[in-house]
Amino acid sequence: MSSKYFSSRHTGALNRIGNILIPGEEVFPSFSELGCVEHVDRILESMPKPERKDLKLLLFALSFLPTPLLKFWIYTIDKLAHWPSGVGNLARLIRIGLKGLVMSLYYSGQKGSEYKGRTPVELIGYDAHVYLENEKNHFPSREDELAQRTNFGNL
Amino acid sequence: MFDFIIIGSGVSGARIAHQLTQEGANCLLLEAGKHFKRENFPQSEIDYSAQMFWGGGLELSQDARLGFLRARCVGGTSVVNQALLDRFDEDAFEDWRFHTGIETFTEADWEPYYEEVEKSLSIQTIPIEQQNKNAKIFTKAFKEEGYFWAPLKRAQANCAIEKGSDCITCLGGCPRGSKQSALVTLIPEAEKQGLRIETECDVHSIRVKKNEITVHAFQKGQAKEWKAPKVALAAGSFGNTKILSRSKLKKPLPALGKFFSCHPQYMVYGLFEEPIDAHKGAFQSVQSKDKKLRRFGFKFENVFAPPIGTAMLIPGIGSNHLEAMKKYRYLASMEIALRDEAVGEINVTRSGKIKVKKILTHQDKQRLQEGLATARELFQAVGAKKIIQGEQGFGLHLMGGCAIGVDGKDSVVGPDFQIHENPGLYAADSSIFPSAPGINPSLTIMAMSQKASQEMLS
Repeated sequence: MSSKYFSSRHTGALNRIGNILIPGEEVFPSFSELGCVEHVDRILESMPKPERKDLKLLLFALSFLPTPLLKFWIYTIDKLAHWPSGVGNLARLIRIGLKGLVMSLYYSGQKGSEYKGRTPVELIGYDAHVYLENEKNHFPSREDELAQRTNFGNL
Repeated sequence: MFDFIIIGSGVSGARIAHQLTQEGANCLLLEAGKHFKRENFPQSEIDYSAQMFWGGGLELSQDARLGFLRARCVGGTSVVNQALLDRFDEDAFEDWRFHTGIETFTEADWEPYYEEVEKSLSIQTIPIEQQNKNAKIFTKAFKEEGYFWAPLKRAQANCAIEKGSDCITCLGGCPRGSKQSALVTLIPEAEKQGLRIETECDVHSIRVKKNEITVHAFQKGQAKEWKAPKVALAAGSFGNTKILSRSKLKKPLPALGKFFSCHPQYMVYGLFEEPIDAHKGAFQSVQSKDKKLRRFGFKFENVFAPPIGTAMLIPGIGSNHLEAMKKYRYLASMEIALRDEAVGEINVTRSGKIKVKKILTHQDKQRLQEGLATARELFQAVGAKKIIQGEQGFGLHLMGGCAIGVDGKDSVVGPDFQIHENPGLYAADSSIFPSAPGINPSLTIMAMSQKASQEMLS
């Protein structure tokens, strides 16, 4: 995969963090097996520049940790996130940042080019959609909309 | 030169633009986000979160205990919310009279504005036969525990729920155009009357001179400048505070950025034996309507979140987290919204970064504990086999920062909606809220904007 913003070192670290947060089991793929990191630019594109820079720096630093140490670090951050302030603030910020990135990709409904199975969104049974009729009959006129107004009274 | 410039195209800005253009005024509407239409809303949760919200989806308080969701698109919050419209009650108005010294904050004084706004929209409730299972659990639990509930009043028309529409999809904009967002109601009508809209336009600051206000902005990186004798700030709590701070008005307006509140919201999930499918149908249709809970300082709404949102809220790491997510269809949920004390503060750094200091006060924490205990009782009463408390608090109703009031020492906006000592500069959005009403704010923002438009025309 090629990302406009992440190097392979960044994506490698993200895949390892993702696998700790979502190791996969039974039919559910692990984060890296799903290959969803291929879609990371969809998030990074809209991320404010300073935050993207901080994230890259963090992933770069974490990329040097061996996986057992990385796992220990993530569990420590999760514990520290319950602290009141100072260290707690930073831990919460890191936890939300990394969890947000991993969960957004894993539950995005997207998969990597190599992955052949069903996506986690399909596996958990999320099937929301909006009914759309023929464009012509579908959109009511402004008058029809107002006519449909329910008299809700004083609830 | 325009007659009016409106900064921000959401619930307030769109209404002001609509009212002014209907009176024949030459108006310019500036919006930081893109102009999505129902035909081209981003299709998935990952894309609409990134593209339609500030901060790429989520902004955080300084201590990262609260996440804020702030829309960034033409139509603003009205495009991505659930269009819930509630009038303020006497309790909320009484609180505002106390905080502002403005005696006209009464139900009777605001009745004509509410009525005018309500007439302009299609407002519906979800009939009992169309409530989804999550709502049925909610109402059953309320009945079991002796609390009162009521259907939510929603600005919508022709949602086709009976034909299988799932409203959760519309959190990224309603592709049917059924949600009565400013995007499908006010803005097209205002455009017909000649409203000019400039999108992807980030307003940096304003300069107020006698009979002329200059708006400085960056549009896709290019510096731009527009002038008008009157300008309405409708960029919300964060946006208005940022613009006024960058306009060097922090010193003359000492209350700028103060009295921030956000109705902190917390999700509580109940895990059931059978599928609930809370994401199906009208996913948000009922709320608490109980005097006792109102007195306690919190309310409940039945609501749910799509997969990414749910995954963010479910606590745990690894298998524990995945176990809960596997049961997505078996989860019911309700949300506790606190009526918080307005002691938060919005600050803007020299580089323009918004920093929000929002800590729950002792009273807020008591209310939260009481709310969480009540939610547990409610789910237990209807047989939930496990109760999961959401990990992250979030704020969707961002209020204050430019509070309305009589005295310039503790307010930014005067009773006529003009910024103190800045004639011609107006605000009537949620940033002017002096305290948290504990009620969905959209309808009152619309009513205030309706009234402010008249002031601007006078």
